[in-house]
This record gives sequence, C-alpha cells and structure tokens, in this order.
Amino acid sequence: VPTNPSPIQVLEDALEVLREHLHLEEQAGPTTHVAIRVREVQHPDVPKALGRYFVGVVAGAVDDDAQLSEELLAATPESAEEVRAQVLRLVGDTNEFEDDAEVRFRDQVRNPWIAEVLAHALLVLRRRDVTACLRGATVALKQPHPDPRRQGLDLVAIYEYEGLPWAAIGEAKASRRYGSARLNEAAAFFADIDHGLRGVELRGEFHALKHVLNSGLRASIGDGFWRGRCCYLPIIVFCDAIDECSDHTALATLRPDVSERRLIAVCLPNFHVFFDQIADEIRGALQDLLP
Amino acid sequence: MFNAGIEALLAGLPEFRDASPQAVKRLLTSAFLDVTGLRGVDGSSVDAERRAADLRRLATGLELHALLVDGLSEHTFQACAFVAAEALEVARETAEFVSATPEMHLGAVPATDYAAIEAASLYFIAGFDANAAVAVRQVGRRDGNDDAEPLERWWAARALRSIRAFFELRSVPSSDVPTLPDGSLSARVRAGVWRRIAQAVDVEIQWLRLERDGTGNESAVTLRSLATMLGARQRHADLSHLASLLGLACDAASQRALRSVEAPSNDTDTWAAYVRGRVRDRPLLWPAAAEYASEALPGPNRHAVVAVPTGAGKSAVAELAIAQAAEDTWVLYLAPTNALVAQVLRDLRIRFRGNELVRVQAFLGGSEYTELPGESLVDAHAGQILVMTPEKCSLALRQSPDAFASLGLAVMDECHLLADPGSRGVVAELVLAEILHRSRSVHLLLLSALLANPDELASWLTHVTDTPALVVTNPWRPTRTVRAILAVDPDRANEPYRVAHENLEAHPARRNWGFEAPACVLANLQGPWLSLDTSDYRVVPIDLTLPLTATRGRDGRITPAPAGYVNAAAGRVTYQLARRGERVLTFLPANKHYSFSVARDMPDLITEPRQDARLDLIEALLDLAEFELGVPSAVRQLVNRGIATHTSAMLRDEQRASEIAFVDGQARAMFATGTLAQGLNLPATSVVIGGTRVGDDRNLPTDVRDERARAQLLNALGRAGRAYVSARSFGLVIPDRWVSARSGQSPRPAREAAPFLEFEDASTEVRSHVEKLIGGALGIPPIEVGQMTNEEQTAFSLLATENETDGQEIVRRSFGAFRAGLDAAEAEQVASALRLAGSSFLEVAGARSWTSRASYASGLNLPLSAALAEAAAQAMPANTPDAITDWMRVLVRAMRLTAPLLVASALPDQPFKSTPMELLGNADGDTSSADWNAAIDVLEATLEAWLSGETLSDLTGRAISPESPGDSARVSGRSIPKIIAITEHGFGFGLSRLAGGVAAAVISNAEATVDYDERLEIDLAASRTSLDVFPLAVHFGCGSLASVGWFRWGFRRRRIAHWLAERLPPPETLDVEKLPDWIRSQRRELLNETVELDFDDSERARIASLVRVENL
Repeated sequence: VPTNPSPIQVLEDALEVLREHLHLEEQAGPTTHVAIRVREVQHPDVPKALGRYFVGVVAGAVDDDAQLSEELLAATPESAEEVRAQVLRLVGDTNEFEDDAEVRFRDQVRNPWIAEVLAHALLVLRRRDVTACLRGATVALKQPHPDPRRQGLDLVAIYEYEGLPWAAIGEAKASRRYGSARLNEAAAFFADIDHGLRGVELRGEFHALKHVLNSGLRASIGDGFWRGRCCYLPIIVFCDAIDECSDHTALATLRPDVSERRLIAVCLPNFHVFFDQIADEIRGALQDLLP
Repeated sequence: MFNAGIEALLAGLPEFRDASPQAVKRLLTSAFLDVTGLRGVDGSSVDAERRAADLRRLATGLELHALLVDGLSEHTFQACAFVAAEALEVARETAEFVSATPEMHLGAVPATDYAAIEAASLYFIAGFDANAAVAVRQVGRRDGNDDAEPLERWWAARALRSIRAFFELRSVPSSDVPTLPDGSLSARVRAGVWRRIAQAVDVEIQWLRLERDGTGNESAVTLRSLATMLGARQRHADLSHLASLLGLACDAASQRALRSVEAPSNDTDTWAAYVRGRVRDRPLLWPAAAEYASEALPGPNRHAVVAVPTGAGKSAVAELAIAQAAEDTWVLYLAPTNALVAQVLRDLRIRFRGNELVRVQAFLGGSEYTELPGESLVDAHAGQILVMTPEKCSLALRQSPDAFASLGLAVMDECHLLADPGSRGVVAELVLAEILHRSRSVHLLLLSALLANPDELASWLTHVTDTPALVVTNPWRPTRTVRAILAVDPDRANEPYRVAHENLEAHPARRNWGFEAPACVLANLQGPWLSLDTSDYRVVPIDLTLPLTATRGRDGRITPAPAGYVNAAAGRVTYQLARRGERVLTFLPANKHYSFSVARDMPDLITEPRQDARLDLIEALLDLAEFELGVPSAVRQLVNRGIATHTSAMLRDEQRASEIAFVDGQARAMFATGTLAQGLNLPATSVVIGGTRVGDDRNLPTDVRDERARAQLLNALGRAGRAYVSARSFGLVIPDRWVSARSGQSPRPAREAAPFLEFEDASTEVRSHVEKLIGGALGIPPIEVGQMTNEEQTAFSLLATENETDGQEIVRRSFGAFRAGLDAAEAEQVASALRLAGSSFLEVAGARSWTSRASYASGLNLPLSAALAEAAAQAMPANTPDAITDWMRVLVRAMRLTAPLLVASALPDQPFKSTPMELLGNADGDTSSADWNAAIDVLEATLEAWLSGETLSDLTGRAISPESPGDSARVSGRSIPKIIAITEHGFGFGLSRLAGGVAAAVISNAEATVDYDERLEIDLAASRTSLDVFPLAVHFGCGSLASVGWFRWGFRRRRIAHWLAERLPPPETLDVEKLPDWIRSQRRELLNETVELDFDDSERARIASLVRVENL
C-alpha cells in the first residue's frame, strides 16, 4: 500500500468533506440541456479534500499497477515513489508557470486533471446521495487514468434509473476565459459518441465495469446502449461566466433526451488561485500520506 | 446479402428495439451499398455516415450484450458476435470511404487496429474465421502512438503481429527483443500484458498447427485469467477487454481444430501426414466439415450427403473422408467434367504432396471404350485416389468390375448431376448403384450445393446398404452477396430520352436514335428477392449510363426500345467495378462469343503487367495453345490488357492462362459463359450477370431448360465472394429487357425481369431417370427396346451385364428402385424383362447375340450397337486393319452405312451446326442421300487431319471453309471457336464413342463362341493394339500409338504429342505394356532437361514452356 492511510481510506475521508460542501443545483431556463451549478466549491475545506482525493486516486491506480507488476512481471516496484512521480507529472512541482510550455502544461495537463478528478468525485458522491448530477444513483464508475499521455474517455459510469442501467459519459474541461469554447469542444466529443466514433473505448470501459455490476443490470447494458439510454455530462470549470442557463445549440443536436444532457458548471471567480491552491494541497498530501 | 445460414443465425439475436433481424440486415446491406464499387452519384455522405453511426452503436450494444450477459445461449452469443463483427467491419469501410477521421489511439495501439481485432475475435467466435483474416489484414501496419512509451509501444507492436498471424492462421516468426528503456510502472505493466497476450496467441496458433502439444485450452485460460486480473482491479480496461475477446476466440479455435478430429484406429500415417500438412494453411474446420468429422469419422463409418452452399467447404469434407479412407482402401472421386477432374486432381495432389502412402491419379477422357494399358483399374490399391468422370467410371466398372470390391470410399462431387437429363444423369445413377453392388463395404459421400432432397438420397443409401447415412445441410457460408439489378434511373433518364425523341421526330427517315440513360442499382436489402416490401429495397444512383435507343414503331409511335443494351452495359459495369479495385467475374450466358466481343470492346484495365502475377506461366500456357492453334491466341492480347475470358471456345491451356491471370490479379475482370459457374474455383468480389437468357440445348423441354437456366444464373451469382479476400460481395444482374427503378416504387417489375433472384439457391430435386425404365419393365405389355427414350436406352445398355445376377443387383440398389419401392423379387423381374427385351430386339433386328456385350462394353445403345456392328462388318477391308488410320477409315465407312438418325443419337448436334457436317448431329434421312455422304466426306478429311496432327487453324480449312483457314478471332461466325467445338465435343465426346462401338463389336465378335461374323474377322496379334487404342486416338486426335502414348502419359496436348512422337519415338521393339513407363521416364528427363536432342530454338522454347506449365 503506497499511502498511509490506504488509498481507499484517503478517498473516503476526502469524500466526506466534499459531500458536505459540494452542492449541485439544477437551474431553470435552458431547453437544450439541464443546467447544473456546483455551489460552494471554493469553501476553504474543499481544496485540501480535493488534493487528498487526487492523491488517493493516483495512489489507488499505482497500487493496482504494483500488484499487477508482481503478478505479471514478478517485480515489486517502489510504490510510494511511483505515486510521487506520477502526481508530480500531473501537477508539477511548483505553481510558477513562466514560459509558454509551462503555461501550456498548466492549462492542458494540470488544470484539466484537477477538473477531471473533481468531476469524478461528483459522480462518486452521486452514489451516496441524491444530487442533480444524474437522475439515478451511480452504480459503477471507471477510474481516472493518471497518465497525461494517454487519450481516452474522462468519465464513464453506469447509473441506475427506474430499474435500468444508463450510461453516463462525462467530459471535464477547465478554462479561465474560454469556457464556451470548451463547452463546444465537449459537445463535439459527445457528437463523436453519438456517431459511435468512441465505441472502441466505450466497449472496453463497459466491459471492465462488468466486475462491479450485478447480472440484472449487465443484462440490459447492450440494449440500453443501442437505444440511447445514455447521459452526457459536460463539466466545465471556468472563470468568465458561460451562461449555462441559456440554450446551447451544440448540445441541442445530441442524441440523448434533454434530461440526459446535463451541463455541470463550476464557476471560479479566482480560477488560477483555486487551481494553484489545490495543486499545493496535492503536493502537501504527498508529504502527509507517503512514507 | 444474407442467405439462409445467416437468417438462421440472426434468429438468435436478442430483442433490441428496432434491431430485428430484418432491420439489421437492411442496415448492414444498405451501409455496404454505400461503399461498393458502383457507389452513388448524389455526392452526399450524410446518410452513409448516419448508417455507419447506427452500425457502430449496434456493434457496441451487441458486443456488450454478448460479453456482459450471463447464461446466453450459444446461438444468441454467436448471433451477437456475428452482427457486431459485421457492423464494425462495414462501418470501418464506410469510415475509410466517406470521411477522414483522425486516428485515435488506445495506449500504443491505433483505435482502428483495436476495432479490427475486436471484429476478428467476434467473427471467430461466430465461426467465420475467414472473415476474421480479412478484418485484421491491416493490423500492425498503421502508425502506432508516438506518445506511448517505447517499452509499451514495442510490445504492443509485437503482440499485434502475433494477433494478426493468429487470425490469419499462420505462425508468427520469432523476433529478438531489443534493449528497451525501462518506462513508468504503468508502461511496464502494460508491456507485460501485451507480452502475455502475444505469448498466448502464439501458443494457440502453434497448437492448432501441431507445432506444440497440449490440451488446446491453455491460451484461452491464460487470456481469461489476464482479463480477470485486470478487470478485477478496474485497470487497463482496453487490455482487459482485448484479452477477454482473444480468449473467447482461442476457445472457438480450439473447438474447431482439425487436429482434434479423431484419427482412424489403424492410422499408418496417411491421416496423420494429411493433418500435419493441412494444419499449415487450414487448421480449422468449417461447420460442414466439423459436423461430418463429428458424425462420420473415424472411418468414414457411414454414408453422407452433404448439401451445403457454394464456398461452404465441401472440398474440405471430401478431404477428411479421403484422408481417413485412404488409410486402408482405395478411393474413387467422381467429378462431372474433365475440367473439374483436372482441378480436383491438382488440389488433391497438393493436399497429399509428400505423402508417400497416397497416390492421386486421374482417369481423364470420355466414356469411349478402350483397352489401352493403364486405362483400367485392375491394380487399384489402398492409398490410391482415382479421380474421373462418372462416364469414365462407368467404363471402368464394365471393364474391371472386380477392382471395385476393395473400394472403401466413393465421393461424388456435384452430385445433383444425378438429375441431369439425357444420358449423364442415368450414367451417374447407375454408376453409384453398381459401386454399391460391387463393394459391400464402400461408403458414399455425395456432395452438392444444389440438392433439394438430400434426405431422400440418404434414405436410399441407408435402405440399400443397411448402413446409416448422415445428412449435412448446414446453410452456413463464409461470404455474403448483395443481389441487385442494374436499372434505368427514370428521373435522370427523362431528359436524354426527350432529346432522342425530338431528334427522331426531326429525322423521319431514321428508325432509331440512341441515347445514354443514367443508371441506378436496385438492391434487395435482405437476401433473395422474396419480399415486395419497398423498405426491403434500396435504389442507388450510379455513375454509369446505359446505351438505350429511342425507336419508331410501325405505327409511327416513338418509344424506348426494350432491349439490345446488355452487352455494352455489362462491359461498362465490369470496367467501372474493376477500375475501382473489385475482382469482377462477368457472366454472359446467352452466347459464348459475347465474352470475347465484350472483352474486345472494353477499355484496357491495366497498362503494365502486374509484377507479382505468374506472367511466365501465363505466357507458357499461351505459347503451347498457339502451337495447337497455329495462329496467335486471342487470349494473349486480352490478358495483356488486364482482361480474362473463359468460354468453351477456348483451349484448355487458354482457359488455364485466363484462370491464372484472374487469380493472380493480372486480369481484374473475367468474362465467362455459364460453364465456369459449374464448380471451378474462381471466386470474385463482384459478379455481373449480363443478360438472363441462357444459351442452352433447345431440344430440351421448356421446364427443364428453365430450371437449368435458373440453376446456371444462381450458380453464377454464387461465384461472388472470396472468403479470404472480402467477406461481402456484389452480384449485379443486367436484365435482357431494361427496367427502371425509383425509391419507394414496387420492385415487382424488376423482379419479373430476373425471377431467379427470388430463389435462395438453385437446388433441384434429384429424381431417378431409371425409375421409368423400371416401371416399364414391370408393366404390360413387355418393354421394347425400340420404344425406349434415349435415357432408357442408356440405362438399358448399362444394365445388360453378362452376369444376370449383377444386372438384378444393380437395379435393386439403384435410386430408381428405391423410389419405386422395389423388392428383391421385383428387381429380378426387372432384370429378366430387360434381358428379354434385349433378346427380342436382337432377334427381330437379326443382330448377333454378342451385340449385347458390345453394347455394354461401349456404352452405346443397343440399336446403334447392332447397326454399327453390321455396318462395320460391311466396311471391313480385305486386309486386317493394323493402324489407327485404317480403323478410322472403317469407322467412317461404317458411319456412312449406318442410319443417320442412329448416328445422330450418339453425336452432339451443336458442334457440327452451321458446318458442312451439320447432318452428323441432326439427320433423319437415309444413307444414300448426297447430303449425308457429303457430310461424311468432310468428316473423313477433318478426322484424318485431326489424327495427323494438323493445327486447328489448318483443320478449319478442311472442316468449315476450305477457302479461308481459321484466323485468331473468337467472335461469332469465326472458325476457330467452331473447330474447337467440333474437335473437343464432336470428336472427343461423340465420335470417340462411335469408334468405341466399332472396336467393341470387332473384339466381341473375335471373342464370341457363337454367332461369329466372319466379315469382322481380324488378325488379333496384328490389330489388337491399334484397335484398343483407336477410340482414345479419336478422342485425343493422335493417329499413332506413339502419339497416343505421349498424349496419355506424357503431355496432354495433341500437337505436342505428335511432335514428341516424331522426335522421341518409342523403340520399335518396345512392348506396348511397357510404353507407359518408357514415356513417363522420357517425360521426366524432358522436364529435368536432361534429354540430349538436337532441338532447334523454337523446340527448346516449347520444352521450356512445357517445363514451366508442368511444374505448376
């Protein structure tokens, strides 16, 4: 186990804090989607919880890989070092971004990763409480892959609604100034899903979820996929307001019903400060949790 | 696009809304049409992209259903797997065609590769391993992900090579592992997973190919546990998924492994050697073979009737049976034509190459009587596989009946031949009956793609042998074919027609005005054109126009002419499809000359020879053909332009050159008559049927003709599909009278223009041709020879055995007796009645009593045998003939004296038609008529030239038009096609039988103890050899024993045989019994180029051609 306490416990502890402070509110207005605003994300306890949650997620993945390494390669890696290296690959070791490459790293690696982990946490919380995130409780959720070089789906989950399994596919974006552009990118990503262009990844991810789904729900996943029992979750973390309550044509043409196009908006007036704060907390968590 | 096999499979699909089997078929077919070589002209890809998206979602839904749902039935599992695979593949083709989506990667692997492996695994699981091989063709050849760590990238690439090799059923060559950077933990784990995947699929293919021992499930277990190991931790979902699918594929492979077929108990290595050789290219059994192996092997321990679609692996079933039976018996393989005999011979020799215990031999030729050494079966032994036509076998049964006692397996390929009208069906039926009589331990294996009553045949075999008979009717087929009609697009054709109409109105002196009518394709989205529901059809506008004509009728009205466009349209469609990469087989069934004329008029398909084609072999074959022809081969020029032809107006070497050119891709298109549809293995990705009228024997009853035409057209359609090249193919029919098609319009008029499209296949119910004769023999008044039909005459002559019991036993075992419900007493009654009828006839006709034996030996009907014997007696010269040419003169004189009607009954009429010899095949006058004698005169001159080795070009001068010897053209009215027909069919399969009739009469008389006819007396010592050889000499066109020998045991080419007989004559003192071995040894030396003769350059070139061709 690379952390002390164990990665699971780290996640559990962090989630309890986030559960208390992150509130999702459905907003009235749009006809092209359901608008959801995340409240209290800037509560002082949230950055630390998110930082630890982040480290817990990475540590969990490393822990799994370490066990696989032992089974497949008969090699026991230095897990704590792997976690540290992995985390620092994702958030860097400083909040100083001076040249273009460093800024690009902040905007294209660090912040999106933090946004993805936040979104992941929202979906985990939906398993525990009824929130506006999804219409049903999350029953299975893909782990984030802590490797910035890998393409792939950010968030894939199964939730149960009216006794049937539904797919939830999320795409998290973070941009201080270009929230609308990121929303359009997310919509284009969902259009690709509509066109079956991400089917390869989806089949792999849903196949993997069979280990955590009961047979009753598994029996209806294929049919559900064909029929479009699917929810799209664009999760946009931004500073300059995008009006999540207005209609967005890019979302209007997607296959799922309006009720399953759920735009989750996380507005951060102090955008960079927030992300820097979380990055600091992540690095701090490394000190606290790793031997 | 889907046949009954797929229909049955799709019945297992789960109940997804809007995804019924019909809807799935519509979607798949429609999407396939989006990317076919004759694609739409509307330029819109929106619908195609929508369909592709639907397919991808369907694939995801069904694949997840198959993988995630517990307790699925095997049927549902396979149905989901098949449709998911098919949907992925069709969607991939669409994506390549309509859009250039940037390549995604999963880890180190391109997503396209990943999807291809998914599709391949799913095809494997569903039992379509040939389609899997097509799906992975590009796997590992696309760019990997540069962002992935080198360690993972290398092992992923290594695994992809192994996976592709596994699905292509070949071993992956080992490769050294380079020094790789260590990488992150994640990369190390992923590299480790890839390595384990590669090892597992390597182990599986090695096991399948007998390169490793084991139980066969090791790989599946490894991959499953790998998938679970990853899945349980929710890590590397892509690899877990892949391992899971590959594990299922390995499971499926192990269950269908050839190596798992139970060996015969006394395996002396024949079977094991076969398996060792066969697993190298086909280690898996397809369904028909799997069923046969499971139910009829080891042994074979029972008869079997295998009635499965074209391309479903009938040959593999035969191979299994042969490889086991040859262990301790000899095997007979009956194929309906000499071309097929040659193909089967080639295939079996390749299959058993290097197996010293097995010897594959063909008995080529017709049914003419001969006693030539080496032409009899007296020494048939275990491990020998003899391939021949039923006619040749009929002769063998008459000559060496005892040899059949040790026969263990008789395979009859294309056994629907039993239904053939005329003598062929009768001969085939009685051959089988006699085989069952002669060998009490034989097992029959009847194979056909066109058999409607396999159960009845199986019941017959069970009934007459008390041995169970297996029926294999699995409709599985590895390829799918869209059935479509080429039609006029009325909306776009309206304007050009209006212009033509106006022009014709403006030119009152003109009767016709041509116009180009834009075309469309009307395709059925299900399979056979059963439904008239417009939603089962799709109209696709295409980039092609049809050359139609506006015509002025007698009443002055101007209308579009209904026909006259087919050949031009066929040429255009073929060209377009071939230019877009399709391998096109175009049938022009109305007339054998059309293939050459359409090919001639088509633009070139290539500008340079294809370098990987066997061009030297093609050249060699054509050189040899030209030596026979005496003029340049018309095929050469076409092949150089990328076009092949296949008609009966070609020499066998020309046909082979065309076949090779087509197989190798030197020719992208082949034009053929219907004969090609009958069994030759030249599958194409597209089939075009240019015209629905089939040139056929007009003497046949209309219903028989229609049925044969339907069978030929459906057979032609069945040639579409190349399992290891393209899973889906296109079959396009051009009706004789054009039809128009518009979306939403009833397809009925189009279907009426090509009604055969309604049928799933060309299955026909085999009925007995002997049954009627049996009925007649049991009836009152007694049956009379003179009243018998031709079929009955044939049956009668074959049943007139010397041993009365034999005749009775053959009757009793015939399919006809089974259908008639005959018991043993009734069989005896039939045999007696036939004997009595024969005796009565001979008595009334004043014929000698040995005539029955001569009739039986020669296979000619009794009246003809009697008449020919009498004529031969009158025609015999004072001195005993001792040369083949002497016997030729006896034959011609005998024919001159025989009633023309009787002569015509043994000769085909078509070859002689429109020649000075026309009366030979179609005369009912008397022997004194000047026309008859003139025809015989021409025959004599032609036959003499044929036997003396003149070129075919020179022969045309004698047979057809003395003023103008043949030129190289093959189109209608030219003489080369005519002389090929005369010599191949008229002489080869007609005149040679009459020659056999004369020989049988002379020999029967010589051996007779009563009724001896002194006029037929010969000096046996002087004449026997030439007489024995004579019928074959007429067939082969070889006028000396040496040339016959060179033809028979050297090289099966007439003028080559003549040339070698002159340049390498057998020693005069050589005993005729030793002639075969002497020629074989000379042949070997020639092929090894160790003969030292003073050959000139042209002769050396000829030898080089022979070497190249014979080493094929």
